[in-house]
Amino acid sequence: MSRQSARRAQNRLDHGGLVDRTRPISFSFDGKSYQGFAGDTLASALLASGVHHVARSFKYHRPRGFLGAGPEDPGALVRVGSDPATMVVNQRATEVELFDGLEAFPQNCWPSLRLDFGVVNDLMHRFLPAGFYYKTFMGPPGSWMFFEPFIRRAAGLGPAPSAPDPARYEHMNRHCEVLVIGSGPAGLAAAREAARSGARVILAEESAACGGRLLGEAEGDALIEGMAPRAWRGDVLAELAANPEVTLLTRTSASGYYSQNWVTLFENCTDHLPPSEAGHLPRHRLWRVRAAQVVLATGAIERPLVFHGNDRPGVMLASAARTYLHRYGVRAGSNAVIFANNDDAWRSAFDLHDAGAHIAAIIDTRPDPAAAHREAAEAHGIGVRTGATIVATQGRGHIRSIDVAAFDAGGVTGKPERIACDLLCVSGGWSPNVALFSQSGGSLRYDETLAAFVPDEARQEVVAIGACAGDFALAEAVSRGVETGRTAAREAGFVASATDPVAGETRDAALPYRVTPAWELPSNLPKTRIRAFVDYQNDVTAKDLHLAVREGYGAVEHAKRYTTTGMGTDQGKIVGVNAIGVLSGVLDKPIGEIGVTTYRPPWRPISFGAVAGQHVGGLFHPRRTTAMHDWHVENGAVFETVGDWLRARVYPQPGEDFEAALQRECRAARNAVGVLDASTLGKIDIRGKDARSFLNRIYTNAWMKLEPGRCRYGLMTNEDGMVFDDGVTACLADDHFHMTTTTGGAARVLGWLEEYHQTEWPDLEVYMTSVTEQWAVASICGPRAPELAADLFDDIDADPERFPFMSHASGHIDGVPARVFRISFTGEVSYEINVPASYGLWLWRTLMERGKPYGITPYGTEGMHLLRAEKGFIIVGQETDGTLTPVDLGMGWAVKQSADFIGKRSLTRSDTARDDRLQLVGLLTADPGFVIPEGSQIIASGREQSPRTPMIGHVTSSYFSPTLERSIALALIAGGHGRMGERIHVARRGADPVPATITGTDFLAGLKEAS
Amino acid sequence: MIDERRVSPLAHREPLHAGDFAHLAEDAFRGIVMVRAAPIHLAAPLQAVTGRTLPIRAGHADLGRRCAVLWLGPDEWAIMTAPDAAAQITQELSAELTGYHHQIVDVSDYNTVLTLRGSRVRELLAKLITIDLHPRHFARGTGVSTLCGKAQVWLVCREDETSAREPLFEVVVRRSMADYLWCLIADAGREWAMPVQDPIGQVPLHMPV
Amino acid sequence: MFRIRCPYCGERDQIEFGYGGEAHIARPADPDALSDAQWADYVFMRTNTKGLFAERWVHSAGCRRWFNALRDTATDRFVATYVIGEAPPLPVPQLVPGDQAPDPAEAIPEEAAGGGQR
Repeated sequence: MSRQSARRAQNRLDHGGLVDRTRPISFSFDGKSYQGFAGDTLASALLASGVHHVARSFKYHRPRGFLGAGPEDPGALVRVGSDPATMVVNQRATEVELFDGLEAFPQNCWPSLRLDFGVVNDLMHRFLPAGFYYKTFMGPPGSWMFFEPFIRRAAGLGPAPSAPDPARYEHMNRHCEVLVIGSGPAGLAAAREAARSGARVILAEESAACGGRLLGEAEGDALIEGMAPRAWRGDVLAELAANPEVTLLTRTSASGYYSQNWVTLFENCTDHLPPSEAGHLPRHRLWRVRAAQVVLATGAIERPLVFHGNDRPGVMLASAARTYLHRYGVRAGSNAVIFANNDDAWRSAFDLHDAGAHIAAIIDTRPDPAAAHREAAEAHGIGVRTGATIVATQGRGHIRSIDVAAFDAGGVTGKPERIACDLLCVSGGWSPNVALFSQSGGSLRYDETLAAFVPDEARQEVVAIGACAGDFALAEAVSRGVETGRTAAREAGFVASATDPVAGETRDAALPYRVTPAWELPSNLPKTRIRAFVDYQNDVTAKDLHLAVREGYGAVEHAKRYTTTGMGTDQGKIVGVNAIGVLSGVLDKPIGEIGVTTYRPPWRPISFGAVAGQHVGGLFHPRRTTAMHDWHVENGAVFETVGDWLRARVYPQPGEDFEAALQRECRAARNAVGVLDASTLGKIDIRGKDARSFLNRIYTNAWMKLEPGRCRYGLMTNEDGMVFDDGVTACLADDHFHMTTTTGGAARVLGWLEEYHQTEWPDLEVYMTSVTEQWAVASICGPRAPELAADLFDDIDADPERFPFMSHASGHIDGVPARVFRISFTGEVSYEINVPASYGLWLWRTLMERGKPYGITPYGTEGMHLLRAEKGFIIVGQETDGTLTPVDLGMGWAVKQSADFIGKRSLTRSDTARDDRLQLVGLLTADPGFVIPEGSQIIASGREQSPRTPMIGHVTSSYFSPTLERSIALALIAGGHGRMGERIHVARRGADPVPATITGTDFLAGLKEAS
Repeated sequence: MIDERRVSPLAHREPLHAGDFAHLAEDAFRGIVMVRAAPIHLAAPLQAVTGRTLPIRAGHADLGRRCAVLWLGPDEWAIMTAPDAAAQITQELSAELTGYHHQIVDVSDYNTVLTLRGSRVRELLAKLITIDLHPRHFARGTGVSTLCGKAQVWLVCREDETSAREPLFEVVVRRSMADYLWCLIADAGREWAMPVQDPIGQVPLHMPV
Repeated sequence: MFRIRCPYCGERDQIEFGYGGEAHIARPADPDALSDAQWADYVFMRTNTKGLFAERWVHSAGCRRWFNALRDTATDRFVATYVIGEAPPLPVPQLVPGDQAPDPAEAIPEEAAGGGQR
């Protein structure tokens, strides 16, 4: 793109605004090259080149231009960028800042912006009424099925990026005494005063520059504290910038206001920069601010008027036209009509006139605009129509002319007169931007004089000031800002010095704000032809709201959803109050009684990236690794996650598949010696004179007689009697225990112990401390494990006779302290060796080396599952699902009768005592080679009946057992304990059920009996 | 000094630098002892064994050069000390507390310590930590238990012997999450060009084909 | 997202806490003496209050202590937090039996209801 070819910016004034005319910027839109200046938005730069039509609306694909000049704009949505990973859609052209090389594209149109086939929807609008989507559900049978593909294809505006987002995002947590949102005169004054007290102040400004409406209005003879407004702004900003306790954030909008003054700010860090200048900054940042006091200076948003043909490109809010003029040096048209119901909008006529535009007419719906305005219009030679309305507009891609006529309560009274124009400035009055105040829980009140909702009662430490509070006069906004800034700091414990200089005079250049609402304006056209838009993005007309009321959806929240008013990406920033005004007219009810729809976060669209922050990809969630992790990786382990832990699942050797590796590992554990990294098991050190009685209340089995040096398996249940964890606990001394828990249950169990100790039994003398990661654990098992252990230990007698099952000993391995537990999860002779975790890798390497002569083979969690399934040991979370009692699991032997424990009473409830509950059993398939898929449903007969075969249970674990050389399975079956030997069937998808026999759960015991 | 058979949780990482803004390193093998007891029983024995004063309020810590004591809860403290000093402290303190309800556990291997130095460290940590890190609220001599990203940590702010201007921040984290936290902190330092670190936990969870 | 004042550690973000449901429900001293219905009432049944509600929290990522809080469930305002074993600092409707219970929404004192547009 060359600058020579760039379109001439015929609407750019040669002075004024915040743009830097010495820094031209080339960009493209819809494939054509343009030129703007540093400081421009895409909207201001396109307007400078005379481009109004930039988008198509959602439903009817009608041409859309720039209604607003900031975040409130509903229609001018574009796609920025063309890279499938970094392009962003649905960006408001009124906010996109120019940088060299920016490429923007229209969206929601095909084949092109000018020729869009989607327009067929517009021609069909009579057949696509409000609630069409819902009506297809209710319509003739099959109508939803018929319409769904069309509706789905039409859904959404821009296309989603198709490649992963390479950008980085961040969160930033901040605490401050005073958070000021909005940097217009009120916000600046509040921030300055609060900062002077020494309090920490955050000032968040949504756009690229602070100043709010100060930047969008002519200065005239306005004064703030005796200074010209923009000079005053410069002084305040300099003072704030010099204060280290002030955080001044531009391009940052407050997106959500939550409980306890917890506010999120969405900061755009690099979207306005060419990629080469972004450096290492994140793309977006989500500031999570905890503010003692919040000051809302979020200003007000102008609303359009609701009249036939009000949505053409070239129709613009009166204030937006002034913003383009004064902030960007762009005259949005050369022949303008102003159409309003208030005195404020007249300023646009005079400002545009002063900038060289012809003003074709000022049309005011009121009979009584301010006399001073009328005189000024006359002096400028501008024609004025009062008590009049626009009844129609003309122009396809851009407004060409309007028809104006007088009207009264009964409708249009005069003959329409056509007036040519290329810009129509509309104003239906101002709505204080109460979104955040409402999000904070504060209530709203309808102010008849302002014809707008204003903040009423606050629920949090928040104050609304300036236009946000309905104070539209400059003097009031500044003085309230000063006062509020001081009060907020004081409330947060900071007092400004009393000697602050008293400020000079503050006065407005404009007349006091006066408005007479006119919600829905009449037309001389037949009713069916009138299309007066309320929501410009979702294409909701006043007529749609009438229809909603007729069809019974008159409540404001219903009408919103039925018509989709305010449900677009703009969330009805400019249209919400108009919709309520129209409803009020239809229902003939005061606006205050209609109320507003709920304001919810976010205030504006924010990126998912900002919400996720750094916590994506490899940093999404911690994957906990053991001390032996490096060895597992080096030796080709396949991993699985257990809780947050990474555990080696199986160690396939070259050429081996998963199943072959699994079988090899398990055979080694049964025939030689296997070694498992068991470091992840939860470990809790429990100490105190009441530790024993505490355990007795926590575990379902008895603990009062366990001797020092011995270990015991225990089950824990919830108060509802359902098993939630298990493990072995060793008695180190009479008042000292070492508890182990499941890998995934470690934190939960410690929390459980603390909860009961702190809240139910604080009288018990017992302390619990997690030691899970103090110890790295290698569990060796198998017939040759004792030989290896004997080789290994410096000072522990490894002989299973003298170091029996379910006992423990402390000693050393090559001088390294070790705790060894003779506990088994596989049925083989086992030694669970604990060493301080920093020795974990050394221990593992030592075992592999010293174990070589004994055929040591590492096995992973899959082998561990298989080996214990052969023994019929449960895995909490595999066999159990929170609905099984110890009795259901066939572990009634672990339930003591002697004393109370958590959950005991529940075991005798009528429901838990039923004998047809799901109970854990073993299953042997008739075909020993068939391994049942885990999770399979169990049915009683070999034929599936129609319509439904009753399920009597399901399979929880299933393997091919290398020891038995056949398949085995554990299953939960209704009344299973009483059905030993019974033949059942396992249902399969798309195949015949497979027969199997119910057995006990210890398959190795069965083997022994058989042999 | 350190038994060479021992491997620290971050032995596979080299210290990271982001100009003068932030330096990240592991201070491995520090001795750490958890103590639980009633403060009234613990204060004098602690003074006798370590020379430190028992902190009795949240956020308070008595940070000596060789030995620091952190308040973790109304009956829970952590003693952070030199490598290999934990065993002796455990033994001596146990002896002093005989007869009183107490629990003393050596958790030196449970944890490791990340150190952060530099002019932007508070800002860097604020990306991951939700508590107030402003010097008014988190000065030298403060230690708390909180979350850093998704890892539970103890965060300590203390005098830095190598810098008069900036304090030293210590982040104590359980060993299994040390690498995650290391990479997360490095990522938070990207703004100041701290190098990218890939977590070792990012292994595939399926059979290689 | 709440900010919660732990009675031991001061105000922290909600992510540091775990929720423990309704407070002031003591575990029965002799569960075996209870009927199935009485036991089920203890295990399963909880008050569902709109307004002032006493509930349990645990500062899991901080001092690991359990404590009680009075929260207005309609506005999510925390009126008070207090340590286990202490009585609630305000009369709590859920602790008053049956029809004598005041409306939870009325139980919050004016100064604690907070805010107020200045």
